[in-house]
Amino acid sequence: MPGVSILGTGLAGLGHAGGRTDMEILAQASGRAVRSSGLKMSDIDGVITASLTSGWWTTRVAEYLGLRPRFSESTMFGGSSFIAALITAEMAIHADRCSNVLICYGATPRSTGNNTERNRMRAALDPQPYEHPFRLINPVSSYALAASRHMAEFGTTREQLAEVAVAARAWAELNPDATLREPLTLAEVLDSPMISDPLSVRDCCLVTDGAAAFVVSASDAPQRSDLVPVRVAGVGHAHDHRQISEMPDLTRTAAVASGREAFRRAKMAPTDIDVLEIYDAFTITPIMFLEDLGFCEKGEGGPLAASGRIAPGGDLPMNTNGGGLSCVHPGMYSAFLVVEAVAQLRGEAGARQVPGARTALVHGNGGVFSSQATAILTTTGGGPHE
Amino acid sequence: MKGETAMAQHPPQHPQALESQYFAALRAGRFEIPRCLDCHRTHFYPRVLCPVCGSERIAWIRATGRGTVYGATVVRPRTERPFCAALIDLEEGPRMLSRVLADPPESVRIGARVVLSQHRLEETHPQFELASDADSVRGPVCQA
Repeated sequence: MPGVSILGTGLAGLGHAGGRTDMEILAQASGRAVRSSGLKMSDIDGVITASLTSGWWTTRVAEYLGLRPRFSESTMFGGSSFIAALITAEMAIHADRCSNVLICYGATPRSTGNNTERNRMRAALDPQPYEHPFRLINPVSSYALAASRHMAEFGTTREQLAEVAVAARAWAELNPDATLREPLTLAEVLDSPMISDPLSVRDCCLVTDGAAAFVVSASDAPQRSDLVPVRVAGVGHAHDHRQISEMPDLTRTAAVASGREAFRRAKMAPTDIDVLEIYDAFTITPIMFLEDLGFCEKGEGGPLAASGRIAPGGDLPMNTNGGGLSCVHPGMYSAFLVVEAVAQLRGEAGARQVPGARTALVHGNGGVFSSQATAILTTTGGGPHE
Repeated sequence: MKGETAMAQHPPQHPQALESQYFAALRAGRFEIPRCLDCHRTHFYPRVLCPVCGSERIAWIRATGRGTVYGATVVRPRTERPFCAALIDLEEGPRMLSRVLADPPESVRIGARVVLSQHRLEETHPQFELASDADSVRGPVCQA
């Protein structure tokens, strides 16, 4: 089978959407993705999206965009949804259910503010009667529990956690679209107010507005001749719990399974990866994913994060847009990982461009380490032109 | 089996949710967790289907209330005093989320032995406290 490729991508409303609604910035990002694919909106016959609140989101999105899709899908895998969606898109295209799939997301939690009523409704619709009564500050506290265990088992330190935030900010300084661009020091991360030990404010991703979209089509379909083909070489998805008390091992995530599957399908290994876009909801998350995806041994994620290898100029460039920690994080982030990876692979990343990047790994995380989706994207091999 | 209470105590046309049974037992001063009559594994939270073997033959057993801290965090709300939230590995095997009552909350260490506290959150939710050496060798602290 020819496999699938990513065509155009689009972003909108990064940081503060300036009064626009979630649907409006989603539509702007989608329009940009479709136009940069060399397609018309009427060429889109498949749509995959997800919402933290609406149960009718896919039909609302299609209605707003004027789509009459032959194939639609929406499963809530939290922040991993838009990488897991690559599996569904690939299957739908191979099954001749559709030709051009639009994968899109948008939300405005920054400009609409912290909505207590909405949070209360979400909790009521997704009850966790054995956890909610203990009134953790979630999701922060659930990740803090995992971080505490990682520190106890492997000697991971707060300084190593903080280095993840410092590296992310160094990348963000190179990205004009990033929300926070002023330099950030290790001491500033360590001295920022604690929310749930050992995670401080600066160990947590931003709450911003933002929308991201991209189009997936068969690799052998005619494409805009000037668009560098970005092949989806392999995708894996796995989940092993919903709430933190049910996570089988607090220091080992389902990224072990999703990563293994993605690498197996791509016939690649971690040494083949030039650039990593790994969901940094909290500073502990990329540390554990670097381990679980095979970039270091279990327990070595802290020292790796602090080694400078993930920062600008390092040999394992990670979260090159500034990540969820410094660039953008509107509730669910994985669509932005894909958009940044594609920019890097097309050599369109400006001052933050990783020279010669040909293969990228994107990894999305959903819930409280609940759902893990990994994809390997590449401009090498397998495409229609080779 | 001794110490086990059948779950189906109510007519089948009005089955009571296991969630309600669990919290009702706590209100009555009993900390009970489910045990599978086929594979003999305990689990938490309560389910009608054993998550290990799929059996529907489940019974409540009285838990000892003893456990070990598997993960811990001091939660610092803006408007409340900081408190320790922890994942507790119960002596019977299953893990649960709870709070450990300790002053200061930072004193709760991973690996610490804990026992069920008589102080419950909002009447029904069980909380733990650090075990003294005597507690860890004595019997259950949860009184019926």
